[in-house]
Amino acid sequence: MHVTGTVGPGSPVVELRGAAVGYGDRPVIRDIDFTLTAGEVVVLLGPNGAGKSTVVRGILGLAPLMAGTLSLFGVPADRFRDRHRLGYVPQRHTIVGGVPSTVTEVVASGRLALRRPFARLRPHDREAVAAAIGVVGLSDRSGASVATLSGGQQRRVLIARALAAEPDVLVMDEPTAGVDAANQEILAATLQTLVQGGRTLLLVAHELGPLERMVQRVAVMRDGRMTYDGPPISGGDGAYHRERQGHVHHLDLGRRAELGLGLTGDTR
Amino acid sequence: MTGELLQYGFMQRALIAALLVGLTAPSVGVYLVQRRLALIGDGMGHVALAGVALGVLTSTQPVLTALGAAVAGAVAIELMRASGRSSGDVALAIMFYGGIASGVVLISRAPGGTPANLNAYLFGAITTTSRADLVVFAVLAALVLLATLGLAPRFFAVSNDEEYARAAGLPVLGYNLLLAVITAATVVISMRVVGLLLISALMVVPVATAQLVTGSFRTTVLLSLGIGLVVAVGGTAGSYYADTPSGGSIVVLAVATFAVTSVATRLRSALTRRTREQPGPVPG
Ligand SMILES: Nc1ncnc2c1ncn2[C@@H]1O[C@H](COP(=O)(O)OP(=O)(O)OP(=O)(O)O)[C@@H](O)[C@H]1O
Ligand SMILES: [Mg+2]
Repeated sequence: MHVTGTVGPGSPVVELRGAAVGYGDRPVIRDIDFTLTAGEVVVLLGPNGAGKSTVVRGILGLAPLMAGTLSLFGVPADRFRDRHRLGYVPQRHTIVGGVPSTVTEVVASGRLALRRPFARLRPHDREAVAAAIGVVGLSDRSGASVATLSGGQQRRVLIARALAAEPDVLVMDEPTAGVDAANQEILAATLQTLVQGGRTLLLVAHELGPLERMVQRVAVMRDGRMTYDGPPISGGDGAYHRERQGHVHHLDLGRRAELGLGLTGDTR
Repeated sequence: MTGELLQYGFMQRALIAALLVGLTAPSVGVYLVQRRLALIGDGMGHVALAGVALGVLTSTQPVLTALGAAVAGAVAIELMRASGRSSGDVALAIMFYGGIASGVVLISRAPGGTPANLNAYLFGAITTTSRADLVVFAVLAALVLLATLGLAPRFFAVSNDEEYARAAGLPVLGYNLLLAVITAATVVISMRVVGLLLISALMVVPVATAQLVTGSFRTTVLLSLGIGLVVAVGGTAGSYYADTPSGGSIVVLAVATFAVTSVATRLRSALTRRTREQPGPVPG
């Protein structure tokens, strides 16, 4: 399960500096400094409309960068060509199109960026697709039409689609929304496996829930700005807003160790 | 009977043209249905009519001028959609109606341009396919099928979730433009036998019929190609015997196939529900 190029643990995979991202000509988020390091699990928290999805969409090139810089795997975003190294699970999804399609067909579309046009599916592609479906526990439904799946199962199909490209970094916009408690646990376990396999995760959520165990860093958005960036604090969402004293962007390693977080990369 | 049908050159050409359009129309239409843009082919037919009129006026091959107009219209539509302007919908309407209106006006001014002549372009006629037309249709159909079948996974991904395809680094605008251009080409392939006002039906109805009974994209494509082929060739042959416009006959046949399939699938699911509710033989 490895894609071209390696990312050493601890090297930045996503780096936003003074970034503004928006829609039309109106920036929605401003002055964002954010670094995601290889091997990390970071959760982006914040109320509705805070700009979490906009940050994610900016990173993925779906919303324009209006100020500042973005680099991916150390390469400026506009020169970055290996977009398949970033897996994306969107928040809202129109998984059911006008024509029936099976779980396998949708998940296989996640693998396209790795295939050349007109090329046939190679055995390795099929294996990766089947493995991704297995990871989200839908192997027994792989031939089913996605229209016959429940909302939570459809969300898992989209996670499998992102996994099919065997990305180094997974960006998931609210993977736990609309998923019941039992399946949130299963999802958390799945994500844990991925992290152990060397993946980097950036997750958007409203609350940590079962993700709490694996999260090393939390970034909090509010009104288009990042108001907190540091280790998770117990005491719920409110705690992050009380702790507002400026950006805590770069925790030095000493403080990390003190907090018992360990260094990035030692999760595997 | 088949022998009689095939002894006329015009009928041979009409049947070959029907075969080509019967295969290409659903292969493009499946992506239009997937994006819920089922009516876009209709609009391109309107625009193509302006091209036909231009061809008639300047006595150029109308098939080629229609191709030019439809491709230009298709690219304009796609760029408008990509820019995401909210006025895009109205702009499309203006373009479509501008196309058909200017087509009608221009054709009426053409030497020998009569409404009967216009009808053949709008609703199809079996006597109009020329040898030169067939060459153009065959080349276009080959290119369209090469793209729709060869690039099927890509068109599927882009049509299924455009934003995801973009995030994965696929050249989404390029694929959208290509799909628009092959839709235009299909409209042109249709202009002799099916007609510019009815081609959209042949793109959409076989797909709608197929998906009543399929659960996967792949089988939907294959089945809709089969249905398209049968109704196009069958409708063309039927129009010879019934002396009706071929486009109308093809589409009536397609819609009838849809209706029968739809009723049959409903009956079947109602029956299975009943047998499940009351084990044992179904009464009545
Ligand atoms: N496509 C868009 N065009 C214009 N404005 C948008 C668009 N999408 C989001 N916005 C605006 O950007 C702001 C931030 O939205 P965003 O989707 O990033 O919030 P969020 O934190 O993800 O919220 P939620 O928890 O509801 O998903 C909102 O004020 C919203 O109105
Ligand atoms: Mg959001």
